[in-house]
Amino acid sequence: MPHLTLEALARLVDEAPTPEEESHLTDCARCREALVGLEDQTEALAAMPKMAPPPDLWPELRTRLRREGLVARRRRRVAPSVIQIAAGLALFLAGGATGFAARGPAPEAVPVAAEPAETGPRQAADPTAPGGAATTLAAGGDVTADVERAQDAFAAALDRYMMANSTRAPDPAARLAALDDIVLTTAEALNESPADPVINSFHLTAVAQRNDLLRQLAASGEPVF
Amino acid sequence: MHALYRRYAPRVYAVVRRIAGSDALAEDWSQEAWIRAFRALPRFRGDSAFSTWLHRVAVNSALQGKRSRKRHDSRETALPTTLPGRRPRDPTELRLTLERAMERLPDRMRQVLVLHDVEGFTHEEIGELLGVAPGTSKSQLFKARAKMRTMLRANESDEGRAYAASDA
Repeated sequence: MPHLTLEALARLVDEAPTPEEESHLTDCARCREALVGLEDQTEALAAMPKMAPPPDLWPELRTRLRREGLVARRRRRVAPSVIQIAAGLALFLAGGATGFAARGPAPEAVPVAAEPAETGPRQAADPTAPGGAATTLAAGGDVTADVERAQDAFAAALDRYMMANSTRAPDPAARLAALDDIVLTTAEALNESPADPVINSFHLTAVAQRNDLLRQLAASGEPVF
Repeated sequence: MHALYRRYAPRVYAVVRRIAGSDALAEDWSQEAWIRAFRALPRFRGDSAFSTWLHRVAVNSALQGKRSRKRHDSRETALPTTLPGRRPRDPTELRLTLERAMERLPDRMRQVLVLHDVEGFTHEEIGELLGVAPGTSKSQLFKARAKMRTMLRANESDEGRAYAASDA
């Protein structure tokens, strides 16, 4: 039997050989070597990495998204609600997590998080810093950039929230109140941006956690308040 | 929006870049992919993972870009024939060699190879995406693999000669 063609060998990377092909491969080192080469090549292709896009792609894309109206230039009154969410959650984490560590109620955490948003410049605790260091959300700058920063802070805060709850025993009352606050504020944000996937995911996570907590409390039969 | 972009941009860019075969086209088409995705986002029903949905949007955008482009720029990027005198054992070097070899494939072969061997689509899915029969996808894939192998072997031979020359 003549040597197998490269195309035939390429097929054998995925499919079983015919009896004739199998017999030939048993006898022919050259075809076996070529098949191994094709298998290695296919394996290497499957492991090809992702590629970082050029850094200027996002600014260009954002400009286009704005021009096409896919990202609305939010009016200033919209921004504080999103920032409020990040700030509220971050404050909850900064205060509430500390309270959890002491296994005691954190009376100052929830009321602060539940305060209505203020207008004008605000600062939110940086949820990624161990001590909750401040991250400035510039009120006088680009509102969209503020919202993006708020979303980033929100995502990081959520991570810390999950981490805090998985490693420490929280005070149920403080946690429930804080989750109530998060659910309410994310619901308000969704009224303004119903299709925003980030806020949607935060809202659903908070609702799920709140429901879980209520179930746990009901099952334990212990008084909460 | 930026959070979404940052999370998924490398995957979107990779598949579009490999189908496009050039950086300039990839930048335009990946931007187009994101525009399409953001337009369609309100209609995303959640019946597949978001990443899967977005990936499909990116592939479709790149293929649409290919279709609407009447004459693509001829890719004259040659395989490096005088790489340093050693075989491409380094994974980064191997990846670069593979990327360059893929760029030299004819469009349809490259599309099928990228979709099947890199992105993991089935021949049925590729058939739907490209509007061809699954058998055609298979046949293009085997041709593409064979052509890649030939290019890589030629590259290795050149490197081997360069290596021998550097030893002499």
